[in-house]
Amino acid sequence: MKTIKYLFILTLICFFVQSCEELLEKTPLDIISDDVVFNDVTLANSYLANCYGLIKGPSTFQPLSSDEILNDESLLSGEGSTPHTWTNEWNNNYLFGALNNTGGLKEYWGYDLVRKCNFFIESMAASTLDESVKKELSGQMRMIRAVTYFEMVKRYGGIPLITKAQSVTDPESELFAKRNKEQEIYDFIGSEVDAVLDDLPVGNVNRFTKYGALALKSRAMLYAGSIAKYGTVQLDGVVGIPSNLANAYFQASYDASKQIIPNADGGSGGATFSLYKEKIVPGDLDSYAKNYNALFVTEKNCESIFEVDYIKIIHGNVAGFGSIGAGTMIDPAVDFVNAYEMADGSSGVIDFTTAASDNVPSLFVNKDPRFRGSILVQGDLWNGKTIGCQMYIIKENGEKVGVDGEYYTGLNGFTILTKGAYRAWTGFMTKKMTHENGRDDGASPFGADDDVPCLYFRLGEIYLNCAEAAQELGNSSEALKYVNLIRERAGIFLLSSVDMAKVKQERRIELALGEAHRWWDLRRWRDAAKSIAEGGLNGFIKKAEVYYDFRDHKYHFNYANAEPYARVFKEANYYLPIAVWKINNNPNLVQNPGY
Amino acid sequence: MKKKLKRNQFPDFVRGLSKVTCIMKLTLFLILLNVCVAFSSTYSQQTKFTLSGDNVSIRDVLANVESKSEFRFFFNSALVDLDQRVSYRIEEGTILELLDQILQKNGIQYEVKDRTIILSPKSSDEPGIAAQQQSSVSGKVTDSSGSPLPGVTVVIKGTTQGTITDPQGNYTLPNAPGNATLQFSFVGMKTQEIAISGKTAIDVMMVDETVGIEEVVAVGYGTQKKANLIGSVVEVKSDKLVNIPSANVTSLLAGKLPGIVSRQLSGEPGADAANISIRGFGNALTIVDGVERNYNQIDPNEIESISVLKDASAAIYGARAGNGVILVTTKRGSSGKPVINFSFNNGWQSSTRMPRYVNSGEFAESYNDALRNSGSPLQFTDYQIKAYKYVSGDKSVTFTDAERAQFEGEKANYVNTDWVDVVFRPAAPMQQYNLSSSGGSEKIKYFISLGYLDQNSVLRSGGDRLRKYSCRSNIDAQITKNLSIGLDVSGRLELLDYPQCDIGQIWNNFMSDPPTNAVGPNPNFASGMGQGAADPDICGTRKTKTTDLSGSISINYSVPFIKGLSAKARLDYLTVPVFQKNFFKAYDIYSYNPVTDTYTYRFAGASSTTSLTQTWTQPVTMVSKLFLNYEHVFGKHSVKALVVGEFTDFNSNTFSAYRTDFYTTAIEQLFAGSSTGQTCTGTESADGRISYAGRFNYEYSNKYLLETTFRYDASPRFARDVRWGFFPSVMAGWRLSEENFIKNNLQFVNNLKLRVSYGQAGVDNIASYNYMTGYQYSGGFVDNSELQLGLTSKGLANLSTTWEKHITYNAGIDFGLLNDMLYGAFDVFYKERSGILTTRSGSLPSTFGANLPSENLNSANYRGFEFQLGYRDKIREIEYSIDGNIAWNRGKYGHVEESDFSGSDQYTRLRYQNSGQWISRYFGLEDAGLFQSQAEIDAWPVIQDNNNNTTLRPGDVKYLDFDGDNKITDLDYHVIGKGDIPEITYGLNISGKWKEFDLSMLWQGATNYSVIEPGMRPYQFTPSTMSAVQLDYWTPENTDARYPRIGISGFNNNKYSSTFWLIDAYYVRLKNIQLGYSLPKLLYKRIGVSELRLYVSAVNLLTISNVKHSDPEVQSWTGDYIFFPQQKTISLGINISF
Repeated sequence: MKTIKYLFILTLICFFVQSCEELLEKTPLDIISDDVVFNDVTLANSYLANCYGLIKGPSTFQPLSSDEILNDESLLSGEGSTPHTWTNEWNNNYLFGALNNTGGLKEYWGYDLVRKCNFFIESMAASTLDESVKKELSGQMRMIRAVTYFEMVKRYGGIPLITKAQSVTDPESELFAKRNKEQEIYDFIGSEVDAVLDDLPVGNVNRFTKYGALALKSRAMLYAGSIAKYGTVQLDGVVGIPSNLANAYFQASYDASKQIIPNADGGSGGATFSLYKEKIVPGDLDSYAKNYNALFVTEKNCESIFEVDYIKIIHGNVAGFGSIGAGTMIDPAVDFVNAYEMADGSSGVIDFTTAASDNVPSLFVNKDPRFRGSILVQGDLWNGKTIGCQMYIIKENGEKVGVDGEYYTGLNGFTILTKGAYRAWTGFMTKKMTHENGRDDGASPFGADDDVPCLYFRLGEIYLNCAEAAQELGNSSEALKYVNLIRERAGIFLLSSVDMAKVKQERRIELALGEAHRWWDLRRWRDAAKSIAEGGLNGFIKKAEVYYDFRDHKYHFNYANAEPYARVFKEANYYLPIAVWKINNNPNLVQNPGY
Repeated sequence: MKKKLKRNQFPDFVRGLSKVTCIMKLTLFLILLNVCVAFSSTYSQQTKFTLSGDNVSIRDVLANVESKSEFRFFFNSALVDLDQRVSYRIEEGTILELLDQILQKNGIQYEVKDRTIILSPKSSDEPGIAAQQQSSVSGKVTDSSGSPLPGVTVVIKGTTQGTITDPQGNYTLPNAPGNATLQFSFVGMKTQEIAISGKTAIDVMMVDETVGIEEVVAVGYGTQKKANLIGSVVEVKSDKLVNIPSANVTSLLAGKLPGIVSRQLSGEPGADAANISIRGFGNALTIVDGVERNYNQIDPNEIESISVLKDASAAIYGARAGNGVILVTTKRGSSGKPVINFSFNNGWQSSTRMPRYVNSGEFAESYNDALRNSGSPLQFTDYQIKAYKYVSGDKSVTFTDAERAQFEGEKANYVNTDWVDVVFRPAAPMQQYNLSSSGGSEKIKYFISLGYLDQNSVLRSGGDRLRKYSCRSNIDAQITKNLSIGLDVSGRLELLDYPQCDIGQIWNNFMSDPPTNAVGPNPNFASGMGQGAADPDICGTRKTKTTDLSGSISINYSVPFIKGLSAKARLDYLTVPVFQKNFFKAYDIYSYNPVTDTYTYRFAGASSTTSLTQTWTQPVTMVSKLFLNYEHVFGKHSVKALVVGEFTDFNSNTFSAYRTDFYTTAIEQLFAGSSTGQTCTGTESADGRISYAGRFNYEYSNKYLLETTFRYDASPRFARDVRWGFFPSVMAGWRLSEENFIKNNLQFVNNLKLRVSYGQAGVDNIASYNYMTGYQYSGGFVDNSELQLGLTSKGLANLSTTWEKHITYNAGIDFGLLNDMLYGAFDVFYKERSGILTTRSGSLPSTFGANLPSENLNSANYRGFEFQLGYRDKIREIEYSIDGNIAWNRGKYGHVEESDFSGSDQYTRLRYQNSGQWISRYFGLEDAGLFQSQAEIDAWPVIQDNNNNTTLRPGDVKYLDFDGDNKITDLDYHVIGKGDIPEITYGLNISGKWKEFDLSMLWQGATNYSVIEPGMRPYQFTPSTMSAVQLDYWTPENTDARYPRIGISGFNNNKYSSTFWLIDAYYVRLKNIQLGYSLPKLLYKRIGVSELRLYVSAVNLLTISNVKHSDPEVQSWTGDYIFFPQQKTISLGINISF
């Protein structure tokens, strides 16, 4: 008995061995503490890396491509049997003109990233790292912040400019900030670029280098200039920029562009960049087309100034306009197809109501090589597959048939699927930003698993920025020079003179499909509210569905409205609405006019 | 921080070691105890004993025998004189020899029945007392089953005169006055009084005493007599749990307990647990034998009871108990003859509701309608539609001669595949076995159980399967007079196999259309994504192996010097490692042409590459507890006190590895994948808890009841300063039925009790480590062709984050009338919930830019009632009982951190403001039917599409304008329904028994919730989910349609949430019906079987609801039908007891 008693007491003691407080000394096992991060260059770089990954646009490709369907270039293709509806933002808020103060269209309120930047910049100031390291890291972060403000100002106009990581205890006047003037935001972007220019790293196009910063300035100042020239000042300058400032902004853009452009082409950028011409064989139009296509799928090519790369294993299915099922992501509209000139300078407009051929590519063979580098048509060969995208056939007896997977053999012995294996809702598919050697997954020739880079800034754009700024400043010969440098590389006849319309046309073609320029350009030029025929966005975009007719053994086009409803771009849409929940949070945020 | 981690590494190891040694010591100790016990417990009936005594009373001798053996004596002291003194001497003799010595010559005879020895006066010792004018009364006493009942005391009321029934249950009272009343009494049975009224033969059937009043209910850290319970506690006992064959425990609770809100969202094996909440609150704390853990997969046969603590009675669990507590207690042995139970049932499950998809004819016709409405070229010609209708069995089709000839030639091209039938089968088997044994002696008691369950699913591929092996051994041993120990060990192996694709993928990937052939004779070609997705041979497997191991040791010591004081220590260790293996097989989808026997590639299946992910998780919990218990009765004052210290340590490790690019899909092992692209990762987490709790009960005269509890709880999830919380509760009760004014005036009231309670508790499984800032890996970018990992802040810290506080007020009344023939309970509660975590983002400007830490800012309140009413009676040989319950609860937002809407117009406030509003609301537009003509659209004053109604067509939904601006905008959305959690739940149990037959029924239901009908997309033509009910769409010919016109991707106007789709739902479900038949005992008694019952049982046999097209318990706000259908199960079973 005694032994048992002692054992019992011992047991009780055992229970007490577990020290109480130790049980509560638990911490999460997967976090790194504050003080370490900003004094360790590796960790600080990781913080920066997180922010690079969050930059609007390139972090995933999809927002970029949603620009394409908002403009007059294309509509969104779909997987399976129905055209894809690109979320409600496209359908409800824009196409039907229903965009209202609840927002939803291309919303970007990047203040969480702004805060991360501000916090990093403040923490770097107090860091024990080398001054030079601190400057380099902070400089990049200031560029990330600037590009974030640019993404916001081009949507909403003036927005609160917040340059410190706020604390909840800050005075209400700071917390509940008013919207700055649109001009102040553009000025901030410009001055930030100037301030950090010499601190930035060199040579790495995945990070903001001096040239990346200048490219941002080149683009942003051009936007500011156009808004000053074509827009109207409203809400005391919260939106709109006084027109007398236009030339100063064009000049700033021009100067920034010139600092990037290589010496050989009249700039002061040394020989850091050059237009990509690797695949060009002079005189061979096909090689120009191949070259243009290669420009967008070749990582870190000589033209790239700032780009976002992808690694397939990590990012999974990230592709430019690669496959979704049996088609490409967006299908170019007829108006856009017709906008491409012929290489020899004649008009590129094709009448699709009458056009017919048993070899469709032959209809486009002499077009601007950039067309062949960007767009696929019925009968094209891509990745070893012939693109069959007829939507239906017409039998000898006039019967119209279009059934998935069903073949028809005509009296001429020709066998064809009544509905093509690939989907081309407009009659055209996108080749730009798909990789010719993309992985053939058996289903699609479009390379579902491509890791196509996103060229955020490239030299080609800078030439066109420079040309536009020069043209706006009245220096037409300088503009002609840079437009022609682009056309020369494209493999198309050179112009003898330029005007704004020609500068705009060149931008439309060179920076088309996936580079996310057109919609923003039409807005800053204040062209968007015009009709499609006048170069705006109002009206119907057109399709030219392909079908095979066994009565004359040719492919024909069904030229018609591509969408059931007209697209609407209202005057008010030059600025997107400040969503009502933001105003509810902060009544100091005045709403944009017209909402 | 870095430093700290380093410093901790060594102590961690040492601490671990000290724990190990502690366990080792305990184990050794227990082994020793077991050995001791084994020696002292070999008593059996055959044991001879040696006893002697001089001049002692017979009473003392018998007491001595009782204390040394299992024998128990029954006697009526009025009839047998046990105060006679005897001397006796037995050496190595049996009990019979002893009894002969002490009783024979003292005029007492005895009868041994099992271990019961009945003493009665010798009949020869009845000299002629029959002198008075009295008649003899005799008769037979039986129990409710008709078996003779020996040892029943029969007394003439008001005298000491009486007798005891003999082994055959017969009695004779030779001289009973004709006007007297006989009193029959027996332990455990109701005493009966019968007036003689001149009769000479009176047979009596004794009825088991309703034990309800003395029933004991599990409460926090102990038990309480049901009669004296003052918290709102409901309990379900094992017999009510095992009578429904079910693979999981949660689905057994629906309808049985008032205040339990249950929703079962899926019928898939392994995923068919019901979401259980108490009074509609969030997840309740679940405690199994004193340890927080999941109870769902425990074999129901192992469970003794499940109690639900709904009010302040839960407060003793402190910071975790805000949403109530569910206590599961497993079975333990009791002394007595060993009982062996075997149960088996074999069931067939089938789907309660399965959508019927369109056939080929309907498909072709509606596809064309949709294409026409969307302005696209038609897909099918009239002839094709006819042909498809023909193959779909539509006999009304008439072909022209030419068409007939054409059709004969290409017959094989027209098929009608029922994809639901291809993928699902009508029924799937389920089997359950359980073998358990319990029993023991005074010293050692045991309960041992072994169970096996095999549940297949209605997927035709047999791809879903759950197998469960469980065992449990609960042992109690009395070591010495004051020391007892308990050793519980349980284990469960659960194998859950699924096809790689989940049920949503299976539904959504039905190969688009019925005109497509199902898989041809070559199994290498998967036809139909649904078919491939449902078949693990094609798409791969998801396998989960869960090994649940737990053990506990408890030691109970009654302190000998202070009566009523005991101490208890208990150590629990449990680990539930989960091993998951996800094998994705690459596969392609082909279409099959039976004429040419060819396969045509269509597209890639759900995965285009073969890959394998293995994940292993091992959570380990260790809980130690110390109890001090005191119970004492001082006259009319009864006092109970309890103090507990509880210490919890938790740690979990996860490790996972991945490889892809397998050379073959035949080898499902990591080594067979390519090392390029392989990844592995792992994490660890830790948690702990220290709690001190106590309870004090005071009862005066069994009438006035008072209970108060406290808990002092700490969790490392919160900052040091706000880590400890104090949670008190107080409950009071008054048993009116014990008062004389009731006892004397209202004798039919046998139980009447008023209860009130107040308690504080918390919910702390929120925002762990919110008080710490820090950085974790997240995102990043490709820097010079290499991934640069990103680092992101966890967000701002909030040092004062702490648990939610819940204060519950409860008042209730329990009553029982006519000896509990009619009984019931009514509870009403109000709960205030505060400190709900939220961020200030609602009130901070959106330009602030940070994830503010969550703070304890929001509040809400809930109210409701539960009512239970039961009635039981017996009409001749039919015993029956009816027990119904109904509960209502509803929550309202208190303060909600949100924008200030006070300045906005009433519509904006109505639409957005939550503070002060009911929680369960559903917003939408109010419809006014469908537009029937273009003229009607033109005349409609409300602009619905922001485009002057130009996009509207006849057959579109017409909406009423709510805010009066003649435009449909966001502000027209107003409350049109309730949320998806039912506010009212009810249940009805009916059971009856007639001779060997028993029948029970459980009805269960709910109402006051909203459902979007019919869980599909009736406004668009989706080939894979076009169901037959959707065919009632608007066309110019079908203007009286239920659904709007159909389109390829639908028309936006018809997609808004509105009253057009919403159903204010209810359902009533026959959750279970069971018919049992117990074979007459005579048939099998000889082979040692004490009970043999056969039954047939059905689960979910019948559902009545206004939700017609999907199961009323599932909810799909998105309109997708992605659920595994609920199952109804019909099973045959057998229970055998030895």
